[in-house]
Amino acid sequence: MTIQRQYNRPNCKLVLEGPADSNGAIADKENPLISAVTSVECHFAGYDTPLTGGQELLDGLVYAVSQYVQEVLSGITRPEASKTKSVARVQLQPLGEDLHRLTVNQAASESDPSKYQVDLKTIQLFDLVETVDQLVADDQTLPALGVDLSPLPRRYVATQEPVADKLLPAALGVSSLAVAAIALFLLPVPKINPPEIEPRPVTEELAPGLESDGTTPNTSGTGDDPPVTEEEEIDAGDAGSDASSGSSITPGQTASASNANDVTSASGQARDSGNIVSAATDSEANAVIIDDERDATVDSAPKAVLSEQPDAAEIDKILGTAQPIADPDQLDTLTLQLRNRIDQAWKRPEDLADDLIYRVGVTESGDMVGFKPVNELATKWVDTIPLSDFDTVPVSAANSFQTSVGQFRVVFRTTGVVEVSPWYGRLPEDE
Amino acid sequence: MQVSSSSSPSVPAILDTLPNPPILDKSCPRRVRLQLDLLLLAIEAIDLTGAQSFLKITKELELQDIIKSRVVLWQLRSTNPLRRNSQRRPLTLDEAKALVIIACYWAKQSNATVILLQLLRSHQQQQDQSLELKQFPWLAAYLNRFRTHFRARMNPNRTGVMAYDTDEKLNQLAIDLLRKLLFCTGTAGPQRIWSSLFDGEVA
Repeated sequence: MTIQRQYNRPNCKLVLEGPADSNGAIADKENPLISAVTSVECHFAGYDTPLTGGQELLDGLVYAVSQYVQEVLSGITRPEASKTKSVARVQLQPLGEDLHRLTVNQAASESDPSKYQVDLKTIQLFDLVETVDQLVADDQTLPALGVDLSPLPRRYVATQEPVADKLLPAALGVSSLAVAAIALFLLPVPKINPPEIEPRPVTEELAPGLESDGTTPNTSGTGDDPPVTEEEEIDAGDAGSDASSGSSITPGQTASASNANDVTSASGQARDSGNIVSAATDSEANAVIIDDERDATVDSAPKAVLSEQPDAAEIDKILGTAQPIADPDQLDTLTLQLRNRIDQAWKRPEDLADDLIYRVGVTESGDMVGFKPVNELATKWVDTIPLSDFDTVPVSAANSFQTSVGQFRVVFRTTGVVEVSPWYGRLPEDE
Repeated sequence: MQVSSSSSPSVPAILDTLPNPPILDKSCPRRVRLQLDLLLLAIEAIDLTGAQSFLKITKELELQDIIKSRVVLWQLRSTNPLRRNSQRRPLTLDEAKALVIIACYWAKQSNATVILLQLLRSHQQQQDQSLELKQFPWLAAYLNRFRTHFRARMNPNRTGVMAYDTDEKLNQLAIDLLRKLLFCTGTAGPQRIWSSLFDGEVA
């Protein structure tokens, strides 16, 4: 007796035919098992001719569809290996994201290479796999039929990754390292700037020397100073017997009694005493009038006297770092001195629109360090006031902490009055 | 098939319909956790009461031993590494099986299957005829809800989430998940989905 089983889905119909297995122990008259499949028909919606074949086609179809659906679900392609020739007759390939092509080699004979080919949408593919799964799950028809649903081992996945993808991260890393290396190579080696402000102890050592002569710090270690020694030896060449004392004579040594004795014992006494006199005046004028020839060590000071007004930023820095003059008497004296100087020199332009306010820094000796316009008009009118004509003492931001500077507020009134007051005000008892 | 319930009495029998994959540690790999959560996310985009449905199914299938409460369900789904508040706890095989079975059970409900098919047909038609999405309001609503859910719950700083930075890419993901849900409705749907999750992850 030939029995027929049908598995229906909207888009797919699978029909099996075969003789009933009457020998089976569990066979019953109503639903006998199929002993061997003689004919398989698979109808696809939209295709008139069904796919036909026998047991071999059924095996191939079940295997190929099952495997392909797992590929679709996981997105991982399964290797072609381990397929027997008969199974390989049925193939499924993706055609775009929503289309799948089923190809079956109808090799009924070697001379007939005709193919059966259908293109299935995902929904149709689902119907196909559902008929297959129903057949497999149906233990009333072909209980021996089964599908392998074990997951794909990792080793098959690893080989699918293209070499280019694997090398990409490494290549990116190496290339970015190279780019970084080139970029860093082009950068200059950073210079190490020594700190501008030297530690306090050093300045305290230097300060007495500066106060006594205002010119050169090396009053004692004279023999160690090559430029001075050389020059003095040439000048006082006849004093060969006392070269060391001759070399020790520098203009700044008047403050030291022992050095003064040396000077008197030296042969070039008259000339040196002349130096002493000039040095004395120098110290009065706070190191402004030392000439280059005499003192090679303080070569920058005289030039700086002729230099232009320091710019506003530098003045800010100088005024910020200099030691302020706090003595009220001294401040009063300096105030008066500055006021008189400005008052005499100011030409008093008639069209002055508003008061001009300046912040002025003055040393203990009354010399101006620099000034800075405070209001906007003051910046504009800076050329009309005498401050810009006054000589300034060379104080750089780097050595300003060695100098005592008094700061004053100078106001040029529109009325033609010059007002000078200490920048930080007077102490209450002096008011 | 004889179910060997004696080996692990506390595990519901329905979980034994899914075989244990040969993985070394008994917790799920990253891809499994990610895919499972996305699958449930897609269901939530279709079924507005998705979260309640999951709990109802849990009761019907007597999976309460594994998913005790809404919080536990949330914790299991938060093992997805792309989540904003991703949990560092592992997802055990039994927990993953429960999630697969819940998703498949939901998809097999007749009304859900109809909706899945309808959405997929709409997408097919839209693609084939190059129609505008707004002509398919159901599909547009699903895609819109899925994008909203995805963006609200996934951590935008993760590379895996950055890959879905445009509406088109998220729509594509949503459609892919629809297809998977369709295969969930099949006779061997749970087994196929379960197996596909571990493709390339087993020794």
